[in-house]
Amino acid sequence: MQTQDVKAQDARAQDARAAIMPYLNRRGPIHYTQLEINKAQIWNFAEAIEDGNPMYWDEDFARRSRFGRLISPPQMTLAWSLGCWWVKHNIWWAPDYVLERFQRDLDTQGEDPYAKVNEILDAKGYPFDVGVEREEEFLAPYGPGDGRMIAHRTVVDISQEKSARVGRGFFISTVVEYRVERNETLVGRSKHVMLKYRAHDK
Amino acid sequence: MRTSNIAWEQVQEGQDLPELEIPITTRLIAKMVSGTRDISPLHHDKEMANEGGYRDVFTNTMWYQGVLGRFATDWAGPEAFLRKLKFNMRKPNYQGETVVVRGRITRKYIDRDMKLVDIDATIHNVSTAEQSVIAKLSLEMAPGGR
Repeated sequence: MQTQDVKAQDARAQDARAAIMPYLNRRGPIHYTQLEINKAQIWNFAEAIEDGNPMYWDEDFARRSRFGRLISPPQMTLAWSLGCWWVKHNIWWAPDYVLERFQRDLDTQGEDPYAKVNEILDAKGYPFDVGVEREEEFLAPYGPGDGRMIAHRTVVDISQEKSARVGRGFFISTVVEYRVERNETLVGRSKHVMLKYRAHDK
Repeated sequence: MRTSNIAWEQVQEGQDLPELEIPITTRLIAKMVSGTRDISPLHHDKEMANEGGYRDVFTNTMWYQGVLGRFATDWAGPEAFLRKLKFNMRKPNYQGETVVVRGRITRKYIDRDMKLVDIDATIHNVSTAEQSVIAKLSLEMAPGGR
């Protein structure tokens, strides 16, 4: 690569990084899942994984178990918090009145640093994201009857621009606290590292 | 998958867990997208995966969460409860490939009245002969091992 190109690349990376620094370590607004924790989604997930654990499938077994009821796979944290497809990728379909209601909710919640970081990096030419590493602890069982899942996100770190196998980009670490609506019980905590990148560019 | 539980007392450090082999079929990918609600095109649209630097669609983060959790409770029983999970996705596992989950108990201990085991696990890609995912789990065993 020519020296000039390297300089331009560095300048772009520094510009993108500087734009998102103000959003680091700012605790985001509370996000509720669209639906309450429910058996249908638990079954969809367990079916995808082919996980036959009766704690997720069999009400009678679950009632007699030490948990006393059907539970969600604890490791469904991310799947619960992803929510509806139109939330993240606003090109998918939902009826207008639902989108409007959703936008009103977002406006009252205030700016979400995580969403903002993604938006900025999309605009600066880093459109792809992929998970790299995840660490989490599960503090309490949860399941249908606990209401919606609540996710609270904080972007805690951004690397310098790095070269990865799929392209160049930033490793972004986000800490999330997961609570359920009932008693606002803390059920999990995660640290997720994703690569936000532009492809085919070493 | 078992419906009874293994007792913590029966378990030994250094013990291997039963392997779990999973072919990543196109149907599995479809169920994964539906079951995890992850509509990122990298995981279902081959052209977009190519644009993103991948040669095909591949399994997502939530699928690994699910599979690693299943791996632990398939062995320990339904009343075991996953307490910690950490994994590093080093290489993608593509549609058409086959993976094997393997694990070994590295530590057996009691913490805050919970009977726990730590497990080192890997997801080995049979097709590429590489370890694609490296994981650590802490599993609370069912009290009493009913």
